[in-house]
Amino acid sequence: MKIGELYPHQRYDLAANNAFLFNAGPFAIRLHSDIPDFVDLLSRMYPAVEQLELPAIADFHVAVQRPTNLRRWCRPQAIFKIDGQVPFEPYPLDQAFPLFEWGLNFCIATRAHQYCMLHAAVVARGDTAVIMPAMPGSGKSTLCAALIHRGWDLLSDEFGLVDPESATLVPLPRAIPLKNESIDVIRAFASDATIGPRFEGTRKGTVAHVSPGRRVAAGSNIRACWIIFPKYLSGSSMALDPVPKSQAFLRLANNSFNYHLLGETSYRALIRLVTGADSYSFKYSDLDEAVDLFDRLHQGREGST
Amino acid sequence: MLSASMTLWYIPASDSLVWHDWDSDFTIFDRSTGQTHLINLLPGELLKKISGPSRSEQLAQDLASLCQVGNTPDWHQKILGILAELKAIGLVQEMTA
Repeated sequence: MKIGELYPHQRYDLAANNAFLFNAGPFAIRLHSDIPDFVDLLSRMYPAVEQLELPAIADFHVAVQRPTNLRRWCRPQAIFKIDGQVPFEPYPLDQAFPLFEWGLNFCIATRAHQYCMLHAAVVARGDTAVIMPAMPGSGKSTLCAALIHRGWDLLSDEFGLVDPESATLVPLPRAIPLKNESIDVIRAFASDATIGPRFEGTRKGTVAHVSPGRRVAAGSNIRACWIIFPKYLSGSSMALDPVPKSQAFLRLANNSFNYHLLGETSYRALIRLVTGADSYSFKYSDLDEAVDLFDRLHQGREGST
Repeated sequence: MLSASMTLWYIPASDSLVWHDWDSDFTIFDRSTGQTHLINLLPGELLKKISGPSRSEQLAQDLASLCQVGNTPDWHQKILGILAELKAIGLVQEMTA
């Protein structure tokens, strides 16, 4: 059964009894929570994700709970636990969902070293994908959210997972965190987008999450055809400029969460990735123009194969 | 200070270098340090010429032939400068002949 099909009391019971088990991409998450509002938002953000049956082996045992101290009553808080440990300071209770999202990012970034992990958005049409590695503030998430509402499938907004053996891309579709002005930009761009509540005053400013819904990639042999380094520049003309492969390789390596940890394995995987793709730097200010360009890139490839 | 003619240049662990040729430059992963280096064509070709302990004069001569330039004192100085840069990143070492 999908998370979105569970009755509220079913999902509350599952979460309260540490039996809420579901997939985030290749990872099985076992969630324990006593915060019904958080569980409701989770089901709204991930309605199409399958609730897994116990017993099943979970990759991450996490909890999002109210602390048991006096803060339970006075300015209530939420804490994130992984394997019973609390790696972060508590958040205000009403920020439990972003706490879960960032907590899960922490778990993946620090533990999932069977993959080369890129700090990148990845979208695909069929088996052909675009990797968009970028620094925070580059407009990556905004562009990614726009693309998945115009026919592209989401693999990732934060973690581009690369299988080091095959250099294929592994989907990890998660809610896309939009920040500050980007929230209203996507609300205006895609009236059908499911956007969660605005979380004001988080450590990253105002944040709201876009649900991937059913716009998720499911293939197992998805290859990067383009590596595009995006940069939003207000008022700029759109420009797509080729990047030499050696430079693209270095930028990807510098952008990877675990390049140095994996060493030669990462080196070889990223070489395969870059060798098989065209690389560009991309400057944009207009989302419609940007999405059209991505569509033309894809159509050009379709026409040539 | 040793003169150029008394110095031999060598790659400390050539088996530990994993090359990739990108046409206009090279990347090298050094297994012994875990470092990745991006190097241009000339330093790359210079490294390839160091199959064993080599004198800079011979390396300058070989590369001058490859690049079809004159093996002048300035060229030799350029090669010595590249060797010093490669030494700084740990890809070559020097020893006394």
